[in-house]
Amino acid sequence: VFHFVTTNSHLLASPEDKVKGVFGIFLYLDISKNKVMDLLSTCPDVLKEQPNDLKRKVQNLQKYVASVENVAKLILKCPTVLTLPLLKVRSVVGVLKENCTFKTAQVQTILTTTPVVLLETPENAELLFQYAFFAMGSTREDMVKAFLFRHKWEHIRSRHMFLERRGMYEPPDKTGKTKNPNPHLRDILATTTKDFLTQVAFASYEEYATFVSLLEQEEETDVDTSDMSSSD
Amino acid sequence: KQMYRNRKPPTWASQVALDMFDQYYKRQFGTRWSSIRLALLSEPKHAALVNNFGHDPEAVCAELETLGAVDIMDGQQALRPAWRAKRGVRGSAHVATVQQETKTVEPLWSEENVYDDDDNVQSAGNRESGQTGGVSRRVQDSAVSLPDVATNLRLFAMTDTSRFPPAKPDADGILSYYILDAASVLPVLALNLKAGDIVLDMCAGPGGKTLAIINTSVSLSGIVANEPKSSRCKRLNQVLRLYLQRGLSVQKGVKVTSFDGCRWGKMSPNSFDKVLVDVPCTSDRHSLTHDEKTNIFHVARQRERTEMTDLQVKLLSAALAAVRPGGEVVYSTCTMSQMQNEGIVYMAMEHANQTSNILTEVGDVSNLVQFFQHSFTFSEGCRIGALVLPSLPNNWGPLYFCRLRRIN
Ligand SMILES: C[S@@+](CC[C@H](N)C(=O)[O-])C[C@H]1O[C@@H](n2cnc3c(N)ncnc32)[C@H](O)[C@@H]1O
Repeated sequence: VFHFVTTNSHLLASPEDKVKGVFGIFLYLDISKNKVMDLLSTCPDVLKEQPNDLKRKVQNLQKYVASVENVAKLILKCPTVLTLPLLKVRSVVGVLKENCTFKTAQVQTILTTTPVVLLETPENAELLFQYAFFAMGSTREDMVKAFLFRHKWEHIRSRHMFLERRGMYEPPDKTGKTKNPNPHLRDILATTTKDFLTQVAFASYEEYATFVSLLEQEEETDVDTSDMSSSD
Repeated sequence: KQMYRNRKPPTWASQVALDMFDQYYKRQFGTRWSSIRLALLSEPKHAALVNNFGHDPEAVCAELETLGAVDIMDGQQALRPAWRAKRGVRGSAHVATVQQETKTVEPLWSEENVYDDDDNVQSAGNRESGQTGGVSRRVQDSAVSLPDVATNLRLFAMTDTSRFPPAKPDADGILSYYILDAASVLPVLALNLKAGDIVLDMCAGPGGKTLAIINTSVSLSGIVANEPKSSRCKRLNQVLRLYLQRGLSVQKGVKVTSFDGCRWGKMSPNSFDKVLVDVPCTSDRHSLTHDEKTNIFHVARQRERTEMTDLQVKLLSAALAAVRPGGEVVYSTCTMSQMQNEGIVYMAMEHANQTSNILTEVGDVSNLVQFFQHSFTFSEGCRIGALVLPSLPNNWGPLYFCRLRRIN
């Protein structure tokens, strides 16, 4: 505690009952004191929240992920979630449920395994979904297993397009079907570059590095042209 | 919604081409096809051919070098990236060679390493960099001699994806460099140009290789640039105008003609020291990227496609007749199709022999292959001539070239 307080001296500036209130919520979530201290030092902004707000946020999350244990899991993975406005969390979950039509249980898994999705803008979360669904023909189940929302769109796109141009990823038809099975989304996305190259793409590092920088360039030229057209 | 964008949606013709390539080239290249496919479907590299007849070619070279470009004729050292890539061709593409970027530059190229000429076995002390695949055609650098003819070409080293800005007119109002695929200079270098040669560029439009011929270090006696298609011929004239000061093309003996190439054998037999036959072909790269009408795989061009091999044989035989005995012909294409490459060469040699009693022999281009082994990925499956395979770190080609010498 001494170490914690000396390295987080701003705590001393917070009113006592506020600190108590915040700790009370963590107690409710059954998060051990050591973990609470870790959490507060990685994300001190949590202490800026009003205990009542925090309580409401926790209750809101509990609604989405079913149990207190899951809320605790989620918060330990990504404490920043507690600093997000309620509305923001609701809008992201809304997109997952309505626009992407994930089932309630899937949303629950997404939130507990990949809480960073809540930090995304709803538009960006939907973009990732659309890319995986339409361009890659993945199922929602695949996306949950691959922790889709943990990845950057650029990462997803370069991994996918690399495989597709190598003839190792068959583009889905209009109904999302392919003649031959494609590699698993999880193996494509949730792997180190090394594993991806040796076990999925069977390609050299130079090829992939060159490809990624070419894609970035394409992106830049796209941006350039759109800039030009907007100034016209 | 345009929220996600893959490459341009394939047109019908380019999809037909891709499906055919997937079948045909997979058989030809095996597991290596994936890497070639990836390269063909991605942005190609381009090189800058410096115009030696510009206002100040040296300044142009210096300027291009400040962009990071290197001289293709320069010690091939510069073309290797710090984290050296494997250059092996032989069936090694499926064996990934993942190498940490942080790995220090290995002494793989130093003198004390002796390689088995045609094997992937290497001397000890090099295990960690050895990789699993074959490292092909590796010889000690010192054993490779400079080609007699030099070209003034600047390009970006492998894995470098920078691009050259479009050339601008210099103080004399002519363009300072021409952007092309670096592999395009190989057929020109394979011509073995000698001072005083008279050269026929039989299929010249739009003129990239013609410019490369004019811009070699050799002073020629004359060049005939032939292109029958009027739009292409117009472009050829335009290129010559943009790159040579007025009067210079006359002084250099450059002449533009517009005949069917097949007629040159009858029209002026035994007349040229060198002939370049850069035939129309089912250009692999264009077939995968071009829009409907210009795509050779478009249904409307079915006939042209089936007659193409016939035309290629005729053009090459005509070239063998137009060259003088002892002279040399270089045949080139931008496809990897064995039929259109080695197949045509064999057929044309046979044809020229049967119809006109012309004897020819296949020339050796291994010196060029060796010299440029770091700039290009050469196919190992080529029995005559040489084939540059596209690969992403070095995205040039495809380009096939073969040198033939007329005996009688
Ligand atoms: C591969 S391109 C040549 C490219 C050129 N050498 C360059 O490097 O810029 C082939 C050319 O052959 C021309 N061609 C088509 N039929 C021909 C024929 N019968 N005789 C000569 N040239 C022909 C085409 O119009 C086309 O411009």
